[in-house]
Amino acid sequence: MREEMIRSVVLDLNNSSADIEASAIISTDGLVIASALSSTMDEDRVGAMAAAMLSLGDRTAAELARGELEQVMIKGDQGYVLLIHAGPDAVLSVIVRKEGKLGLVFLDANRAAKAVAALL
Amino acid sequence: MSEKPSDIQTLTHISGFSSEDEEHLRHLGQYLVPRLPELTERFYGRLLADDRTRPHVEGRVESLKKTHIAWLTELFAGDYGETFMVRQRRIGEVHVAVGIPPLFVAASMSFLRGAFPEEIEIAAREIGEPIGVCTGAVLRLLDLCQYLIDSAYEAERMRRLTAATGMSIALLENLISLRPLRN
Repeated sequence: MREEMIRSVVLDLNNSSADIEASAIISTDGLVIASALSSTMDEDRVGAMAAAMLSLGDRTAAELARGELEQVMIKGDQGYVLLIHAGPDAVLSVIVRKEGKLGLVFLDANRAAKAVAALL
Repeated sequence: MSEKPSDIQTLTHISGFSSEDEEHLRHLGQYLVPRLPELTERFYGRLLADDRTRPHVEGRVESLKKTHIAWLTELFAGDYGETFMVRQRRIGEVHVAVGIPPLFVAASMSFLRGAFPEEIEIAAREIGEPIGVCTGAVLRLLDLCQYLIDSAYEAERMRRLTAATGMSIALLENLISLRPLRN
């Protein structure tokens, strides 16, 4: 039941914007909780790498006195990956197309992360 | 349902390290322990003669030799319970802390596996025990020690990686077990 609700948040996020290509909720140990990823994406790899990036982001923000980590953003020449805490035990990973309007994506992603955190 | 055996139990079950081995080691100790300083001298001679190992030991060779002799002596004390195991693991942790790579532990054990048989032959004859049996006991013990030290190395390195990155041990294990990328 809870898993379905979390997956529903992920699907709603993907549908909220044409700029969002895929998204997933991942535990801080790197295991996928719910996902809406393309078939070409390896869920295990996406999960482990996303969790790793957010952990490193947390540590880096603390080490460099940047306060609490809000998000990690990876910018490639084909688009973005956004990583946000969804509560203390999970990570929201959002894959965004190159032309994406990041302001709106950030808003939608933060709402989704809060919704998932409330469910977990 | 029976409990899953520990890694140590599996290791000693397969290697055959037994209470008989422990008895042989205690007997051997009477003759081998006086020989240990000479073995240690030879070992540290090798370390000082090697460009990679020399920087890790020069300037403190005498204190390292004392530690090494104490460790070797303990191998023949006949007590291989939890306290012994904990001490071997601690050696791995200390090696990581001071930056000694696992290669050096492997090389050290290899030196001992090469040097002990000749000493064991003499000692076994003195105490009237079968040379092969005594050699087997010592080699099995060295394997147990190496496993404990290597495991502690691995655990301490993972702990440091966790501390530096914030990634949990479970996450690190998941990253390690990811399928290799297909080219």
